[in-house]
Amino acid sequence: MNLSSAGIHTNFTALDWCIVVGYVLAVLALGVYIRKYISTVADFIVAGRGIKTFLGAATMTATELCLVTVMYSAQKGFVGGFAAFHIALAAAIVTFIVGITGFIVVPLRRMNVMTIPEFYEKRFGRNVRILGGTILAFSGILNMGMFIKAAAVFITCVTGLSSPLEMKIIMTALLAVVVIYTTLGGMVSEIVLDYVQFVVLTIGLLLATLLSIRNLGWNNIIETVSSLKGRAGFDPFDTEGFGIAYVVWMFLLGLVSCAVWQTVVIRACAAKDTSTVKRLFMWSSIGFLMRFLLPYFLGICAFVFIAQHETLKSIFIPDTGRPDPQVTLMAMPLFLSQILPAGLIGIVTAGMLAAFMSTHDSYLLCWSAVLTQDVIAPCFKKPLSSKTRLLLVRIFIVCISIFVLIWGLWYPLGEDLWDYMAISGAIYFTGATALLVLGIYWKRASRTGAYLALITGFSAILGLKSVQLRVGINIASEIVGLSVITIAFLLMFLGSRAFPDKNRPVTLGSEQI
Amino acid sequence: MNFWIYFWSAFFFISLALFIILAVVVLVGGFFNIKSLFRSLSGQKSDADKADKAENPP
Repeated sequence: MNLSSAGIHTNFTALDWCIVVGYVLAVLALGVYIRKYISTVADFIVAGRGIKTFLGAATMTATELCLVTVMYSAQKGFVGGFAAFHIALAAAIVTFIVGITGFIVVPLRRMNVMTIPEFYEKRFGRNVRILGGTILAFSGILNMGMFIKAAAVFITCVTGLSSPLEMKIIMTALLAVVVIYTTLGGMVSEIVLDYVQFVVLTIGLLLATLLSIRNLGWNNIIETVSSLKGRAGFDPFDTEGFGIAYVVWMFLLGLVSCAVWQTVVIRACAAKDTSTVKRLFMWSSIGFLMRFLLPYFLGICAFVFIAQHETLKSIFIPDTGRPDPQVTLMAMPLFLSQILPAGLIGIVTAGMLAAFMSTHDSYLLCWSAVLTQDVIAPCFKKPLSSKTRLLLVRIFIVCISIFVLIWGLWYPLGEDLWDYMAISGAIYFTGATALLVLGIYWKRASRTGAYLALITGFSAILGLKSVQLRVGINIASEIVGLSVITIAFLLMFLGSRAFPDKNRPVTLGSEQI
Repeated sequence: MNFWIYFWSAFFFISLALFIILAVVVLVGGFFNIKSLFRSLSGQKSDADKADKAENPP
């Protein structure tokens, strides 16, 4: 969509380009400098397990406040209004409870594991680790395959670049920067840069939020949402909006995103000790809240801004039918390009690119570590040396990046991006949640039950609309997700009762289960 | 609907205030955490170098 032909021009200037390019170069230089501190695979993957509370909270927030989250959250705010805030509330409540109780994350830290499949091996055996690692990496790599696309949409709207070739070159260059500093510095560079990015992002998002309130006016925002969306714009239980099943699904996703998703769990594993893990999650609950809340609010502001602009309203909020998701995705960056002054828009864009790079490097490192530690290394009888593992991690970082670039940027995706991402994540986490919860807290959980739960997770792919069209069903994705996770728990329970393991007990850190 | 309007308005501004406090605390605390992380990694690296030299004398 060419917005300049509709008379929409961005505030992005040469000064903003300088800010963005200068920031990216500084990030690269820092990554290279940090390389000298890396000596072992533990330094590379979990920063020598030396992460303390505040640094951990900053990096967890920075990693999970990714550009793709900002984009889709803003879209959710645009479409759902204030009712979308319930997702942020659910994330914060669940993360805080995990912090207080140490649910899942403390036992994992106590076991000194680096990845979740490593837990699978300690609890269920080597083959479960290899299967679990393969599913996790497959799901995660597919999931991150669309990050670069979301970043491309953001850059196009904010900078006003309309040439597809320019976009591809910029995104390829960005990916190259991420690969270089992740390959060189691993978790240490990632953590330091996450901290820097937390600072830039926080300042950028807070300024954008305050400016939006000042320009649009709080009462005007409330009144516009109220008149155009009605009750569904505020009440999350309203059936014309989200509905109760969606709210329950969001609470479950809150648990998954803070205690089951590997990129977050790796932060818990990198923490100094178990009390740091608890503090880290309690502090991060505010970060988890804001990573949704601020983008939702910016999406709502974009809705109000567009509703009061005749040309844009006809494009983004058509009178007939639901607006095209690919178009509403562009609403927030377009709004920012109109409302932020030159200079500030450069800082916000640098912050958003920081969010993209921060998440991309974490995910690259995470899936490479999983492939090395959980899929390749267990296949060898003789343990691989630290040097070989480091080399493998670096090779996987490059291979995954090439795949992601081709998949996300050059491959023409023919389906809805959000559905694709949610389902690709669910392939892993629906089965993994059962393995983690029952594996940690139920001593009779067995290998057979674990296999059944992992394989059941695959059926979450039925939540994808294109798959539903092929098999001739039409079920809401939240219903599919909730059903699959329930079946995974049930099958793991029944499988464990029917086929118990012969070799027990299994030790979990200092405890025995 | 009024309940939800007041609820989300209060929720938003309280969260915003909390986030500003968190940002300041994490910003300051994180800086000192980074310093301590590098100190610990430098120590580990020099220990590893010493061990290497002891095992493989020139």
